[in-house]
This record gives sequence, structure tokens and C-alpha cells, in this order.
Amino acid sequence: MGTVGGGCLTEHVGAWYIGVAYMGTHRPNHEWKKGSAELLILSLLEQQSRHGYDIAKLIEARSGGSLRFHVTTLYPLLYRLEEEGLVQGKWVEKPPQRRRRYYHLTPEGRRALAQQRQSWREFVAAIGRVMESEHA
Amino acid sequence: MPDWKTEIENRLKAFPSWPAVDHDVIQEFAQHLEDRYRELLSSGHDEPAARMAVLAEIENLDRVPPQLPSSKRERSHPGGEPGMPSSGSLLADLGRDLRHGWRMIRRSPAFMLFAVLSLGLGIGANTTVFTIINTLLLHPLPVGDLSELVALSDTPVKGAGQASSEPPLAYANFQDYAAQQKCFQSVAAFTWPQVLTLEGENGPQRMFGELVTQPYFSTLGLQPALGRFFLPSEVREPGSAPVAILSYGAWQTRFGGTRDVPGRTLELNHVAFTVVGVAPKGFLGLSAVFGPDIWLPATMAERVLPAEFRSALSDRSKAIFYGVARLRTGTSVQRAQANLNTLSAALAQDYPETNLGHGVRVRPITDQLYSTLGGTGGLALASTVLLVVVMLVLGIACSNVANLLLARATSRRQEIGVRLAIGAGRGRVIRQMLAESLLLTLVSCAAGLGFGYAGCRFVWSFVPPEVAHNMVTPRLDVGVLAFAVVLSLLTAAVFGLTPALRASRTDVVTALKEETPAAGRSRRIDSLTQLLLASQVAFSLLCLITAALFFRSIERAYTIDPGFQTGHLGMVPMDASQAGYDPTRVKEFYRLARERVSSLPGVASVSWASGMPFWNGPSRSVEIEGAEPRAKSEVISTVEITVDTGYFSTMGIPVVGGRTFNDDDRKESHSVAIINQALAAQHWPGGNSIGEHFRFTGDKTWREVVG
Repeated sequence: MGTVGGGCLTEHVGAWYIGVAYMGTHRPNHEWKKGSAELLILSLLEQQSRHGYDIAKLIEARSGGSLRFHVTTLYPLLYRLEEEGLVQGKWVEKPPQRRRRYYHLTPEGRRALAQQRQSWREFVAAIGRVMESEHA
Repeated sequence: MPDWKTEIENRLKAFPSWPAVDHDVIQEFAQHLEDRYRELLSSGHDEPAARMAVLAEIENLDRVPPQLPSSKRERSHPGGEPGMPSSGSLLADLGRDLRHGWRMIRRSPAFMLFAVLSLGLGIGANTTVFTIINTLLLHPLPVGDLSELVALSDTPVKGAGQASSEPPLAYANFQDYAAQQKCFQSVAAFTWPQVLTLEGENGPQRMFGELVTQPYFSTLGLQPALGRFFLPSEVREPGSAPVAILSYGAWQTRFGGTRDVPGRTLELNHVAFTVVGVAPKGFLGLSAVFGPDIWLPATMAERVLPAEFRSALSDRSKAIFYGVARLRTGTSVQRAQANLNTLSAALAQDYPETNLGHGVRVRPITDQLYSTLGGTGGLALASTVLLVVVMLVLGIACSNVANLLLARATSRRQEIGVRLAIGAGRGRVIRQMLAESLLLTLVSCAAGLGFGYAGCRFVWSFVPPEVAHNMVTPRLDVGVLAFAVVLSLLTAAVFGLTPALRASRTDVVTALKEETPAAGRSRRIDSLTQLLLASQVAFSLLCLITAALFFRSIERAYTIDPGFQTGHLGMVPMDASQAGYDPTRVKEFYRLARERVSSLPGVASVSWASGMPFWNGPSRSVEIEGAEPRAKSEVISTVEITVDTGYFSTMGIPVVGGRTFNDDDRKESHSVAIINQALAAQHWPGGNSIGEHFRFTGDKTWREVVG
């Protein structure tokens, strides 16, 4: 899961389908978080540059506390995205604040975000249609 | 406030085999933890609770390093990147591998010293031999476009008695060839270095000079280092141009390299020559090994050569010149040969007394150069033997170092196991191990070049200092450097590949379970080590036997009975004819000198000889009176030495039959000779050679064997 930058729709949907089909019911939150982490981070960086703690705080706050990333999960993911060229980190010193590393989306990151967002919407819609038909 | 940075670093230290984390990553983590800690405090948590909550964030810190991309790992950490998969950039990986390898090697200075010394000596020996080959075989002549140059010499004549395979040309014949030939852009004649006497402030000194025709330097495509070469106007009339060109070596050593040398006068064989220029550096004439101090115009031959050669310019029977020519574009050696064959046939008709049976041989100049070194085959054989010997030495060194690397690989099984466990592929481990081998050989290569340079200096130190500037000097050029580097790379592959392959096959589970590094030494590695040891012993034994035979040969050469007494024997070489004396005066000089020296106190006896035992090779063939004429391939070649009376008693050579020479033998009407036992036993078996006759091929009179 977590295919970015150029993966086709069927790949994304297929991956999610398999993930949902086999994840069972014991740790849904963990698996869902894992699969959506990349999309969450890219989304938060769409409008402005943010440092790691800011990203972690926003995810926690906007998810109402149901999604939380530990430092040992968040930063390796950020570094991987940086390695893949989707985000770029830069040390910035803004007195009186201390020196911090801010991350922003690269053009390739924006394209990946658009693609992942589209895939996500189609996936959710597909799930919704399946669920609605069951209730109908 | 807890020191989060130290906390993170301490936790990471618990995993020494993990790739080390970049400093910026640790700082970023620490900032995050600090922000979280402050937030917890501000939200009402007490310090211990806040600390516990923050520490929970880094519970899984040990999982972080293997997940980090290579750019987030510490570059200077000893356990760093090599454990991880490739970064994708070969150069970046190689750079990291080399840095890591350097750190690993630096940890074992004794290992490094031993390996570098072993390989350095092996590479150095090879570099020395290659330098000799590079100097003599690959770059024998520093002139323009060697492939266009050909050498001209007389053809060996049937039954002429000349044992030399390349007889010289007569000057007059050469001039005819030069004037009528149609195949050469330019053609010139030269002699081999002649001994000249330079009259200087410190008394007479020996110099070597070559006589050359005017186009000599232009034919070779050379430019003077100083001054100019000979002008056509200077060499038109025989004896009219006492000008000279110094060799670069003579200019540096004899004249201190001063730039006012052109214009200076040198008295050579009682003729004052004006120096007009200096030949380019490194040019030693057309001998690959030994060059002259000075070049003189061929037209000066009549004034500087010994009396017997003073007619060399006009007498077609006095041959002392060789030719060098540059072929016209598109002309082959064969075509030039055909052209000169026609000319030599015509000359044989015009001058049958001197030219009948003589011709011209045209060869590529490299053949001529190599023939001065014992022939292409001889030189190639000598070079091959030398190379094989030094390659053996390098083979021993490689085997030695491979064994050491195997031992090291065994002791590093756990380290390699960890690397494999955290995701490094076999190829990555092999590359890392090869990088260490490469580093070792690069350091060894530098040491080898140093050894090679020292080796060349050692070999060349045997050259007598008075002729050092006449001798070729070793060329330590880019070619030698490239050879050493390529050899080092091959060496790295030879001794590094097997240990690297073995190391990469490490079983991760077994390696990590091992308590001691040596515990996992496999039977296969042991057998390989034994094989290497056996090959080392075999190679060493081979070298030892070769060396022992070599030294035994030298020892025997020293103890061999030369056939004359070597103790209390002095030798003074001189050639009175160089002073311009006519033959009568030369004889008188030698007689007077002998009388005066023999009257000196302490001198028991004195005599003259044209050469010393073992100095000369076979020079003349002989015909035995009454014997069937022999085929050319079966001629009896002999070493001829003309000696004075008293020679045998002075040298302590016993005359086992007949008598020695006496004053009556000076009469030209009665030609006599003393032969050695080998010739007597071969052609007059039974010991009855006294009174028999033979003659040198080409002579008309028979000589009587008197002793």
C-alpha cells in the first residue's frame, strides 16, 4: 500500500481492497492509519510548509485524537517522501523561534497528492455504493 | 528539561551494528520530543508523567535506523552505510565503501603494513621490469614516426669472414645509394660510437663520438635542444667542417648545461671542433642503450678516425657506416629493398673488386634497435623471463594477502551477518569487501611505484658513472603509471574476490549466534586457506630454487678458471692510431712504450694485445689447409687477438705445445699463429696441429700454427 507518484487507479483500489479484505477487525485503526499516512501528510503540506511536530499535531487535532503518529513513524515516512522527491525539507531559522526543519510539497508531490486524493475518493465512493446497496 | 538529544543518542548506541543516524535527524527528533514535553507540561502533566509519555514516543527507536534512506545516515560512522542496500548510485556507493574500508583497514595497522609491504614489493618488482621494457622495447627511440624509418646495412657476404649479421656500408657506396634512390624522403649515414680523445684542461678524456651525414637529424625528425644541427654548406668538402653537436647528457655532465656551449672549441683527436648545437634530451643515437657524447660530420672521418680508417670516405673496402632513411609515403620496406637491390647490382658491376657480393639490407628501424639489444627474440625472451619471475613474486604476495583477508573475513562473520540481516544483499557485501581490497592495492600501488622507482635506480646504479650520461635512462612515464594501476586493480580482483565471495555466503543465523568470531570458521574456508598456503609454498619454493640456481651460476662464474693469471695484472687501454699516427709510427710508439714500462720498478713483464680474453666475440672465420670448403652455416668462427711478444708469459697463459711468438715472427713474409686447445682438438685431433696451416677467410696467405 501507499503507492505514490504514478500508480494507476486499479492499483490503488486493488491494494486497498486487499488491505480491507484481509485486515480483519482487530486493529482497523492501525491499518487504516498506515495506509493513509502518506495522503494525510501530503494533504497537510498542500497549502503551506510545516515542521514535523506541526504535522503530527494537526493530524491528531483534525482527527479528533483518533489518529496519532509517533516520532518514530512520522519522520521515517517524511524522509522517505523526501527521498522520493514528493516533499522537500529545509532548515529554517525564524527568530525568536529556534531553528526548525520545514517541509513543503514539490511539484511532483502535488501531482502525487492529486492522484492519491482522486483514488481515495473513488475508493470511498465505491465502498459507499457497496454498503448502501447492502442496506437498500 | 530532559536532554532528549542525549537520550536518543544513548538509545541508538545500544545497537552498534545499526547504520548510524545523521546528526540532523537526531536533532529533529529531539526537537519534536521537546515540543511534545512542553505541551504535556502546559496541559497539566507533571514532569515524570510528561517524561514517561514522551519516552513512549521513542519506544521503537531501534526500528528507525534501518528504515532511513542513505541520505539520513551518518557518513562518518564506522558501522554505517555498507550494511544497507545500495543507494542506487555506483559512485556514491563506491565512495562510501572506500571510506568505510579505509576505517576498517586503519583499525588493523599491522595487517595493513604487512599487506602493503607484500603487495608493494610485488607491484614494485613488476613496475621495475615493466619500466625496463617500456624504456627499451616500447619507447626505444624518441624520434618522430618510428614506423617510417628504416635501417640500411650491408648484406652478409658469403665467405667474407664477417661473423656480424649486420655489416656496415662503405661511405662511397652509401653516397651512391643516397643519390640514386627513389624510395626515401631523406636518408643519412652514421657510425656507431667511436672512441675519441678530448684534450681538456684536466688532461685527455675519453669521449664517444658518432660520424653522421648532414641529413641525419632531419631524417629522424629531431629539433636541437640548443643551437643548430649541421648545415649542408658545412659538409660539402671532406675535412672542411670541424663542427660538432653535443649530446644532451654530455652537455649537462661535461659542460654543466651552460647555454654558451655553442661556439666553444673542443680538441678531439688533435682536431679543433666548434660546438654548434646540442641534441634533444633523451636522444642517444640509433642505439637503444648506449649513445655518443658528440656527433661529428662524416666528412671529418679522414681527420679524426684511426689511421686505418682515414680513407673510409673514398675506399669502398672500408665500411664503417650504417644508413637510416625515412620512407616516402606509401612506400613499403620491400619496395625500398627492391630499389636498392637494383642500385647495388649496378655498383657491383662498376666496382667488382670491392662490391661484388655486397648489397644493401633494408629493415624497419625497430629491428635495428632491437638487434643492438640481442635481437627481438632475445630481448623478448629476457623480458618474458623477468616478467614471469616478478609475476611469481606478485602471485606469492597475492596469495599471502588473500589468506590474511580470509582470516579477517572469518573474524568479521558477525559483522557481515548483521549487514545481511539488515538488508544488505550479497552483491553489496562483495562490493564492500572488494572496496577494501581495492584500497589496499591502491596504497600498495603507491608503495609499489616507490619500490619500482628505487628498483630502477638500483639497476641503473650498476652503470659506471663516467658513461652514465651515455646510457639510456629509465622512463617512469604515464605508461608505467597506467601499468602499475591496472596491475593493482587486477591484483585487487585476484586476492580480494575469493575472500569477498566467501564472506558474502555467511549464514546470517549462524553468524549472529556465534559467540566468538573464530567459532564459525568453516571447513571450506580452511581448505581454501590450505590451498593458498600450499600455492604460496610452491611459488616460494620455485622462486628459491631459481634464485639458488642463479646465485650458484654467479658463484661458478666467479670461480671459473679464466685460463690466465688474474692476480698482479694491470691493463691500460689505449689506441695510438687515434692520435693520427701512421702505421709505422704506431708500431714505434707501442715498442717504445713497452720498453719504458718494462723498465719501471715493480713491473715484471709487459706486452700489447688488440683485445683481452672474453672481450671480443667471434669475428673471423677460418679455412683449414687441406680441408673441404665448408657451407656458410658451418664456417669455423674464431676470436682473433693480435698480440705482442711476451703476451703469454705476461698473462700467465701456458703454451702447452710448440712455442710462443718471438721477434722473428714480426716478418710479414712469415705468417704465424698460436691457437687454443679447443681449435686444435677440433680440427687436428691427435695433438699434431703444430706446423699445420690455416688462413682467415678472405686472406690469401696461409698461417702456420706455431703454438
